[in-house]
Amino acid sequence: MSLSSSLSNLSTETSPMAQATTAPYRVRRWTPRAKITVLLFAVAVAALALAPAVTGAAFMDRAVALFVYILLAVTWNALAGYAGQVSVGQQGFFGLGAYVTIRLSDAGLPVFPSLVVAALVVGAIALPVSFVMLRLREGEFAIGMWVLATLFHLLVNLDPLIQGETGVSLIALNAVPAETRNLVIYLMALVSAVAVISAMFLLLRSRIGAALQAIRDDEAAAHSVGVNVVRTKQVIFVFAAFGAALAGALWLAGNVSFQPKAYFSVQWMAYTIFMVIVGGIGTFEGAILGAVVFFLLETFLGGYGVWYLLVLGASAIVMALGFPQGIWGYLSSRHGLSLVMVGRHLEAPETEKSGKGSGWSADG
Amino acid sequence: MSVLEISDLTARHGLLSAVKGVSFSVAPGEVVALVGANGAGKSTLLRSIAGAHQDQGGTVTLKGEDLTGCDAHKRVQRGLALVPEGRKLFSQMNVWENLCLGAQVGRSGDWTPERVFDVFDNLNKRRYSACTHLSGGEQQAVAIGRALVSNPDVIMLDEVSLGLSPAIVDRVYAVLPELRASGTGVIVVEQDLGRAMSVADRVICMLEGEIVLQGRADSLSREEIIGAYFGLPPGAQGSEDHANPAMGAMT
Amino acid sequence: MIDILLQGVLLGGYYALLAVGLAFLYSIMGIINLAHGSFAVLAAYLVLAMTDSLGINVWLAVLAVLPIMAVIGALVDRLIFEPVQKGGQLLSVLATFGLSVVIDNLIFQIWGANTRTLANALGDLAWASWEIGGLWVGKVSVYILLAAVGLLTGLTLLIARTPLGRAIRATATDPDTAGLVGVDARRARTIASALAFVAIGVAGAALGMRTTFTPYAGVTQLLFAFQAAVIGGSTSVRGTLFGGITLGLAQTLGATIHTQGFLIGGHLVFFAALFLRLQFGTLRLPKLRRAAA
Repeated sequence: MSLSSSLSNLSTETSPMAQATTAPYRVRRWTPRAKITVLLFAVAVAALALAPAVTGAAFMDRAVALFVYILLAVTWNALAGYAGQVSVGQQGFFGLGAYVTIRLSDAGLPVFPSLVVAALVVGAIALPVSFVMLRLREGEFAIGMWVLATLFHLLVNLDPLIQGETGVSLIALNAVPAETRNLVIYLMALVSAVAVISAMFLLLRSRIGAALQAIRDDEAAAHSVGVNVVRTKQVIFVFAAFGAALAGALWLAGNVSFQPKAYFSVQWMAYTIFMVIVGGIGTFEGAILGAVVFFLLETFLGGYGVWYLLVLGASAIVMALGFPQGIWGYLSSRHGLSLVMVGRHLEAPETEKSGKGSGWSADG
Repeated sequence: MSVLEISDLTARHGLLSAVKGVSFSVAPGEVVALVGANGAGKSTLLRSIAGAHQDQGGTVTLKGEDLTGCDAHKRVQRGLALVPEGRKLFSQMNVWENLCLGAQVGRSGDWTPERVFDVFDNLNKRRYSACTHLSGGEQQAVAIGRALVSNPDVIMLDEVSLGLSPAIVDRVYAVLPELRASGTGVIVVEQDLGRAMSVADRVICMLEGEIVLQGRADSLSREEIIGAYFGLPPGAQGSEDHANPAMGAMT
Repeated sequence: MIDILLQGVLLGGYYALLAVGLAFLYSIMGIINLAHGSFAVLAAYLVLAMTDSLGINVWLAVLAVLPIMAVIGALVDRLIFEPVQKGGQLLSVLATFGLSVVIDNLIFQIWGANTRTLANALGDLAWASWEIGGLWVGKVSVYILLAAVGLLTGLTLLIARTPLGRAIRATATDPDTAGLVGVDARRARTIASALAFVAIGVAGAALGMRTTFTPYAGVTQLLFAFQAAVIGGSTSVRGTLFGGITLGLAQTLGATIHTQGFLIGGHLVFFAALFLRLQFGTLRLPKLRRAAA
């Protein structure tokens, strides 16, 4: 049986076991370890959801920051690591997410729903934008996105509601009692992070994941075998814009005040790039790991100000030069470590019992 | 008494061993033809001698000077030039600029860009044309000229007749007698066995990265070479259908 | 109105100057150096340090900073551009962005957050101007425009006419074959990088002379340089000057329409140019300009 027919079987998500009798090769989509990981992930999420019962406002405050970093890292990784489009302008969507929240709330929409609606609106804005921007390549795309982010910044400043660089606060939040507010924001941030991680997981396991894999290996070849390169990249571009906007909206909810300069700052890209490079660009687990590493570094070293930023920049260079695969990429190439299966393992019948996929693997 | 000595040269493409311990030498004014089937390792051998192949071992000695470990450009400066397969002209430069580039290494000698225009006189009127606008034969002439103007002690020609008509090939090879007279060593990789035997003093036949047969061109028979070409045991005659690919180019 | 156009053209001279290094480096190595603006600002601070602390004449200080920039360019090539290029575009974007973060914060750490300028060091010249038909033209701006034209012409001639230029072009097209022709490809690209950084140094000095700068001004300079290069569409003298002047005009005109219009005008023209280019097919900066163009 040909590879392509195996792959098309898979897309229907049927159990690989069902095909075992007919196919000499079969495709594994789950390993025992992957199942355990998903289970552990669910337990961790449940624990985090219950955590506010025993922890205080300070914990929830910091945790919101972590969830925002995860949102930024996972969605930027999708764009740069999987779709191969290195954007240095996601802060544009981050800032827009916060801005649209303020606008929606000002227009009378309840404050918490407006956080999510704002991210959806920004995602919708990103779709037409993607038509132009995705035609740029590599470095041009990177700076083009950067210019776009500054244009968004300038346009937002034109809005009298924002009062230029002085900024404005999400006043509607003050109407909510502090305790409720903290809890709701914490839970929303948690749910958002979990939702984006799950969406990424499902996206990578869908046809789009296979298409991304093909594009990353060879864009021209992928195009010639019928992968819709532009459409696939657009999906990821909009997904990444949505994620950055959601992060911006949640950041606003956590900090209340909106100063355009702080939200549209390229600093966010420095943070994000650091997270993903250190964690492992183009690996599903790496982006999340990188966000956690960054969060810990910031918690313990953030007080060192400029030196801290210097170290971040320097580590991005060192990682790019010496360890471009990042921590997770290193671990998985050395030890075959893979907690979740976002790809497919094609196994020859003889090796079906062995845990690790021998032969062909399209993992990660 | 040799100008170039190759000793135990090895080259790898990743896990694949492309050249496995090749040794031979070239005397001044000698023309050596390197023959063998596609994939026998001829081009990799030449690129290794020229220092353009990264993963290599063994020694290359030019006029008594050890070039092992030297970068490609240093070998050109010492007098070892390669005309690479596929010409590899700088398409955004014109003919004259391509030749100047070769002359820039600053080795003195008979060859100058003007001299190239004399020898390949059809290039003269095209000297300021972009190389992409030249015919295949003209491009090959530029590629050879670009190597000649560095006034090498040994020049290596990799498949210079590929894709050219026999009449053009004649003109390309017409430069060999002069090189021979001036004491320049020449290595040619040539698919056309008949031509290889007619221009060369010595023929070296490679098979799967090793030298399987070598000898004076006038002492080897075509059958012997064809046998070695396909790895047939000595004495076994190359059957007609085997011989065809090698002989085809002659007809 | 004529005054506005004139100011736009003069401003454009600065942008052209700023774009030279970025476009040159891209045409030779295919790397878009995201630390471009940061290095320009670094050059401005170096000039400032020499004039302020050592009391050197500002023009001598500029002359002294240019070789320093060349050395920095050579080092950056060997330490970052060369290793990163083997890993593809992704890594070069990431590494040069990391570099910009490092440079910006290093400048902040050394020279502090204050807004600086070289205008004081220039003395009277900073305010000197010519009167032409009732319009006042700042001498510094004119010098910067002339420097842009001079630098672009010099670089073009160097690349098109000299042995070094041929070696650099050969390396840019095919480093492997360049080696087979006797060109030291590594040396050629390191020299090219040094040249690009000299151009960045000149641009940095111009930045300090015509206006003020802060440690984090590099971001804006990078975006301006990139916009001028993209609008110009090529690394030829005409293209870069055209790109710079178009950007300058768009910003000056934008500023007359709205207080925020200065930057918005530039961004809009940039995206318009980008869009036109996408429509008409030539959507990339050309890898290398033709010798004869």
